[in-house]
Amino acid sequence: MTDKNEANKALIDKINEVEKENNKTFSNTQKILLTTDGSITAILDVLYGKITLTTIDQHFENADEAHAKLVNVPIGEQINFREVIMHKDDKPLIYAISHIPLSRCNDDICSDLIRADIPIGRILKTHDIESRREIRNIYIEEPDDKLKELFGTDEEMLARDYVIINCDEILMWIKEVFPISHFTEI
Amino acid sequence: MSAKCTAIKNELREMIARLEQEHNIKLSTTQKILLSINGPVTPILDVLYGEVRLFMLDQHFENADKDIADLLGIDEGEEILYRNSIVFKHSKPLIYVLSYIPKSRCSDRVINKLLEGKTTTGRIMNESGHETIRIINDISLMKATPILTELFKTTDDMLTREYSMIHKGEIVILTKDIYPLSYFKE
Repeated sequence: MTDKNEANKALIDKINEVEKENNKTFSNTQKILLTTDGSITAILDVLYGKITLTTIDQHFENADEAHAKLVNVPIGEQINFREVIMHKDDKPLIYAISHIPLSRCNDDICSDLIRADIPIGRILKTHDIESRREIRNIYIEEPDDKLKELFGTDEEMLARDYVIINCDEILMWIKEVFPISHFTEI
Repeated sequence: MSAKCTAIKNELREMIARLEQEHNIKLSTTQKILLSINGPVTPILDVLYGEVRLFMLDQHFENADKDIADLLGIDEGEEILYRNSIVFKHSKPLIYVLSYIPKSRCSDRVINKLLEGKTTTGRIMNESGHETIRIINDISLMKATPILTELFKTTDDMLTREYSMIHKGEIVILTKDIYPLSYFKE
């Protein structure tokens, strides 16, 4: 018999920790959505049927200290900020924010980002961008006013953040958030 | 706040719907996720079932025949690593995994790690920091072969998913996951 496979050990431990610390039990679908290094959009689409992406905001701004740290660029460097919500019909499913340093995008990618209606996974696919994802944090957080309004609830939120790495540099930092009652029955 | 709304096109949803329709079957949520995730399934199984293990059935170099060479985009006769393993939990086989790896496209370090036979291909690629594009080529339902019947102790039809990991524009690993249709129903 072979040695133990510890391929995803850190993520399992992380999920177990968050469950234990908060005295919660996550559903299988929640666990998958929090730990997968694949496309969440594709999973939601397969589970729910056609889902829709709504861009809440998309703009460029100069990175402050916190944002610069997230994507490992100097303070003041221009980043693309995107805020989207994926939903099925009128039901919001997942809220996502992304920060993308402009210096790491070629013109074609920038053009797609500005169009604001293309999911990031699809942008990567369209432009044949080879990458890897590193999940940084998985946690429970209290919703701010914006999340309360978007989801129509003040319950706790499940969240994760991760980076997409291309050419050994962070191409994108992404945070995904959904209410803790979502994806418990599917 | 500007909002732009776009339906996301997903070929996988259509592939899964077609599979269900053609074979008059209803796939579970977990099966759909395992079929649609664009990467290794072992991390998903780890999260769902606790740490799963890998058992190497066979691993050897062979010269690619025409069919395999065409699949991988290499010359017929080129050396490939053929990997044949079972992911299991508590002595129960979960998924049979077949991989074809063109030797010329992997570093000696990766090949040596693969030959140790202790680690999944996904983890090896991840640990080595390889940036990839992962594409699902096909999902299907197949009849059980004698080997699969012996491994899983069932003559059930088998769900299969074939996907490629592409690095530097070339397929570095082609993997086929196979498991009985009766598995992952919960």
